[in-house]
Amino acid sequence: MKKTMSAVIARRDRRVAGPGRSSWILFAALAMVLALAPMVLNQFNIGLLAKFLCYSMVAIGLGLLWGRGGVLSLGQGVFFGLGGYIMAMHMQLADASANGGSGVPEFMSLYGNGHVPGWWLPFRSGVVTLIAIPVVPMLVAWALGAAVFKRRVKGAYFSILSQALVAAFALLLIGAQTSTGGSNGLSDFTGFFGYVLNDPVNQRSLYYLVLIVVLVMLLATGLLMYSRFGEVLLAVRDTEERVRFLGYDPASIKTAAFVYAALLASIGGALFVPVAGIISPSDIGVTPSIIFLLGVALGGRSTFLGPVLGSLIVSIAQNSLSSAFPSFWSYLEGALFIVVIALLPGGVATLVPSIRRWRRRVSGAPGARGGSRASQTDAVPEASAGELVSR
Amino acid sequence: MTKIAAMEEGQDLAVRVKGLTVAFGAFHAIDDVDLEVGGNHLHFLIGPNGAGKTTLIDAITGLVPYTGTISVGGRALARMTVQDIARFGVGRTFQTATVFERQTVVQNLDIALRGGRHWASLLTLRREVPERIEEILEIIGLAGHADELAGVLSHGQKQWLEIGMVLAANARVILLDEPVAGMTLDEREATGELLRRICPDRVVMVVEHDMDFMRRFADAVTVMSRGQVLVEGSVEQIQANQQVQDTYLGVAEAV
Amino acid sequence: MDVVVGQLLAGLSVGSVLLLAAVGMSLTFGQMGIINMAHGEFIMIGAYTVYMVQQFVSVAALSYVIAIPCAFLLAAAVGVLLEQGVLQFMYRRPLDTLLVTFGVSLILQQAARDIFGAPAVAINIPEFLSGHVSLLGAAIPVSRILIIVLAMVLVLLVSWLLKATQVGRRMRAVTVNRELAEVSGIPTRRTDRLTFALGSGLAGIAGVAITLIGSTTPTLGSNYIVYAFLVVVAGGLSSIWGAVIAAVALGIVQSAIAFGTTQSIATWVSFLLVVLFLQWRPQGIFSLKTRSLA
Repeated sequence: MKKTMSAVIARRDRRVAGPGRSSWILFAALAMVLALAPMVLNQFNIGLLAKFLCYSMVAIGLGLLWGRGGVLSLGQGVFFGLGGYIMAMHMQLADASANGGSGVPEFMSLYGNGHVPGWWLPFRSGVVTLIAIPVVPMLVAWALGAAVFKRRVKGAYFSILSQALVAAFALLLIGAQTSTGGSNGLSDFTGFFGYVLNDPVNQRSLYYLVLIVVLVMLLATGLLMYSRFGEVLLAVRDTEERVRFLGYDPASIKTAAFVYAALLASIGGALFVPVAGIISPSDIGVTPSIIFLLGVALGGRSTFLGPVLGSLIVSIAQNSLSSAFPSFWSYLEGALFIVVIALLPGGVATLVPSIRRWRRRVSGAPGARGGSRASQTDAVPEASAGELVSR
Repeated sequence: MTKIAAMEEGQDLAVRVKGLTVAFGAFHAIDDVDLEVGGNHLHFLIGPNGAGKTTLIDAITGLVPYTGTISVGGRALARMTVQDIARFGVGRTFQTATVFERQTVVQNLDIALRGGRHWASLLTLRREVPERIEEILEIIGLAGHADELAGVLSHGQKQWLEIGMVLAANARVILLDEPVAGMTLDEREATGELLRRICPDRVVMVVEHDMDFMRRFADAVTVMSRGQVLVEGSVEQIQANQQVQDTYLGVAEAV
Repeated sequence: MDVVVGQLLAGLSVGSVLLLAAVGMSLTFGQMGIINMAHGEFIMIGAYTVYMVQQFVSVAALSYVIAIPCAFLLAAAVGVLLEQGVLQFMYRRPLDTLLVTFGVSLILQQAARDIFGAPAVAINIPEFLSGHVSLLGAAIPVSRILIIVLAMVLVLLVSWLLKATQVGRRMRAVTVNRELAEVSGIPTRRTDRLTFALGSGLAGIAGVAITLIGSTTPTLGSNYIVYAFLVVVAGGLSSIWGAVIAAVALGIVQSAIAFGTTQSIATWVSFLLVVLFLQWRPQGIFSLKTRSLA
């Protein structure tokens, strides 16, 4: 009797500890569509999609940090920018030295005294660059996370400080015209680790590189979400003090999530540079940093695939609307923030179970209860939608 | 992260409080209290509102600053953080049961189980319910609710789950803040039995207002009033004590 | 000596601008826990109010006198609309209100762009304000002095309001303990609405003052919002005087550093100072001591 009881528990439990089957089907479908997309898209659109995928890397990290951890960072642009600028510096230096060049990026001779600043020099080395891209942002995130979370300051304070950090970072980049390109940023790259960037075959390979990185990030983040770390993170979000009294340091848990999100954002920024061919302060300032959150919120901040899907949708919408109807797009973007956050805190993902229930009711099929039960545990309810759980 | 070794099996567990004072500004919530609580029995801490009972638990678990000394098993707890004290083996529950409402009972217990472990153990997926958690589910009587969200449990079940979490965290000193408040008679009985079951080789201290519950289950009692220890002893000794009668009578008249 | 005095006065003047921008925010953040990202746009509304008034009133000084109450009322009205329309349903999700109000700020900025155009609009500044006065050997623009005086008057007014009037006492009661205030019969919902209206209105007045020292554009508010947030964080939520001290301190630091180096370094130093300060006092300069955990 006891044996069968625990077997039942174990079986049920396995369903909780991992994304549901429908999530995996959706994941496979997404991977398939993105893998086949280059067959039907022209070169320009392949580049665009790769760019959107780079943005979605930031969203994936935010899904864990904000959705599961309840930590609202308004400063992911800092990490996107760090990864991007480190990569861009390396590519500038490599381009300038290629084919017997002077070794000095063109804009430096244009605006400055024609000397490469000392802090650029390490990034001549590809190895240093590839190490710095993950390490530097993780250190920055760790420093801010440790300083803020250890002192148990309010969650809102962290959001404000992360925003101040990104504002200061953008100002720094704009101010240092001769060494960072100022508000023009860094652009006009020709090569990427020895490959010619405007070669169509290389462009396609770059797309697949980006896609593989996104899929790996999704898998890793999904596993983290459903791992014991993910469960503790959720517990910290909901009842931080109880977690502390069980012997955890909630600050370390939150810092770890922040560092992880910074890592993903930095890789996103680093891949963004060869894909988009430019990085400038306008890609990483206060406003773009908050816009990253819109896709996450839209797709479902605490779900497995919501952040990446939402982020892609927002990017596509922005791309097709913002140049044709700039004014309309601004209103739409503002309205989306209000409507999604206020009325749909769980994102579009929370609509799925209710649509499923509604369809069952319409078709009159039995077994509706079991279905809603599964989705209840599968899509972890929202932090903020505390009203959902009755006391 | 400093490593705090948890207490060992069979170690002296006694909680010793000496000259403890907790001040909130000019108000002394606890005023120069000495107290010793040993293992293997149910120790009750009673007293009228504002006697300093909860504050005493807060001080032991590192939540409020104090002067004086508190030691567990011979180790002073001052200067230790809340989480280090928990890792050392001191667990507590709260007046309103505090569980992770949006996670299942098993998830709640599993989080507690891993509190003092190496961080790398957090990077694993739970493939099955750990044996220790099944044991605890039996002890706290929630085996049939293993997969339910903690938020939908009844008030009493949440209290039991919280006690289970403290057990899962391998606490050797367990401090319970009004565990039976708001429970039905049957639930009180079950809670008392539960506390009896867990008290061997542990220190279990219960802050309680419910005098019937205290009379029924207490092995030893400390009465506090206005931040000081009024009297200590067995249930019979306490009931016979004139001071205690006055204190409670006084409260009863004031109400 | 005159350099020091000049720097101190410059710092005081930068600080009083920060204070003007932050004082309303510290009210709404402190009492309601709402981080209003659209606060900067309420400042912008105040600035454009001056422009609108000047379309009808050609005497610059008079237009400013009229603009101050108009800006207060207009910004307060938009604030009440926002509070009633959205925020009142979200009190249990303070971090989410941050993003909702960001959406509002995007809409308000775009609306300003559509109505007034993206470039700065021309504002007539009263002639006597463009002069300088010599103070302890340093030349100070009259407009800066006016801003310092205005900031002081507003702070005194608000602190009097909170201390001496019934509405103010209610506001403070709700800040300290919302539940207790509620069971004591204080209409917390109405108090919230009033607080939000007052906080928004103060942003409007700040906008009027800011037209004196900067250009009036749709993005005017976003230039101040980050610093205003830092002031509120460093000042603590329970007292307006915390915001005063934080604003003046940050103002002096900023102008002293910007004097020697660049604006971006000054921003970095301010940011790092606030982070370091929170290591020492996580709850800000003034904090309430209560026995509750939360």
